[in-house]
Amino acid sequence: MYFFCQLRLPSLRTRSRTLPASSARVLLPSIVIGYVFPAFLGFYSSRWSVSKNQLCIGIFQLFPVLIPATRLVLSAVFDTINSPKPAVASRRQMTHLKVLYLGATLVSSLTHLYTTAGIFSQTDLSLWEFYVPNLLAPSFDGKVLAFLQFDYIIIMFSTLLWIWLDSSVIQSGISLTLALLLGLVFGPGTVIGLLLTYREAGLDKNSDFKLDGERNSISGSHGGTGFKSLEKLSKRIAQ
Amino acid sequence: MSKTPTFYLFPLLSLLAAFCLWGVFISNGALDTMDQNITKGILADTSPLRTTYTGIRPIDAFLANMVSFTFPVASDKFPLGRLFLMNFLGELTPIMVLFIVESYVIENQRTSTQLYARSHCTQSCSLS
Repeated sequence: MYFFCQLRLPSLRTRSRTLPASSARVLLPSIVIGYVFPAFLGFYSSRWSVSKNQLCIGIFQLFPVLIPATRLVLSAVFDTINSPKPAVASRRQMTHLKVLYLGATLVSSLTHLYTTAGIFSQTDLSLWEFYVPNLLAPSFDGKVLAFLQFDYIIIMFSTLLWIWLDSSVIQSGISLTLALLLGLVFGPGTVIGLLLTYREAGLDKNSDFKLDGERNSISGSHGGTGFKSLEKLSKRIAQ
Repeated sequence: MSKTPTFYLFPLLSLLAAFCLWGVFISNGALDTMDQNITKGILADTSPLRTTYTGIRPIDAFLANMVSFTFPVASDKFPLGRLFLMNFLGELTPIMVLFIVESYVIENQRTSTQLYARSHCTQSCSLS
């Protein structure tokens, strides 16, 4: 469903991209309060009673509601204190988005490093078990883990492919080897975060281009995820 | 109008995801086990399942289902699952940010990203 939604993301041909200034500046704190903190609490609460632990895990499940709700409250508070002026917000907005993507990238890389260290610190755990779903897992928790492992693999693969096929990334000449190395050390989520930061800057820079024939045709449809993008990608891999 | 390869590729990946996730989860009997546990009011480790969260029945039923699924892998009794879930949620953050940002972009109002967060705005500015 998520990737179905991605098919409709705006392309670089989009003439303008408008984001409410009052939303842009509070998205990072909204995600920290509505997602990162409840997720942390869900794990931390395993030290408490089973019932409280379940309550915290239950609260975390509501993050798709918690994030917009926090955003609404914070927007109202910030707008009351300091109403954004469109002309100033236009320049600042890009900074908000860059900080937002870089913050998310930092969360991704830190958790990846922490969990990788956790695997290496315990002799009975292996990277194979960590990443490869066990279809023959006998226990319920093993079966849930296999479900999540499939989920992880497909989400990461699809997103990496989608962002790598984005015309701005293809044109940038970012090395595939470097991306793979970064992915191995810091996790695929970190690579996705960095590429999304790059893409966001590209969308900002190119949001006005509309009649630039060659670039326009390369970007194709749906963020440049067209056939020409695939051709360019295959040429780069061949090189 | 000719269709690009990605027009088919990403929906195919969605189908693959549906099969690998739900197909496997149903065929290995995990969904049945989860249903039975919820009916009995227990978790996989036979601890009592919490069924009251908000006091609103449909929401509580949904949360009990989600907790029944998530609790075993979040538990410190299963370190591999706990570490994996931690990594999964952390690495998902940039993807979630993409989805959230795009859902607030006004030009996406007629797209499915708006299903995530439809918000009215009083102050707006253009990136262009």
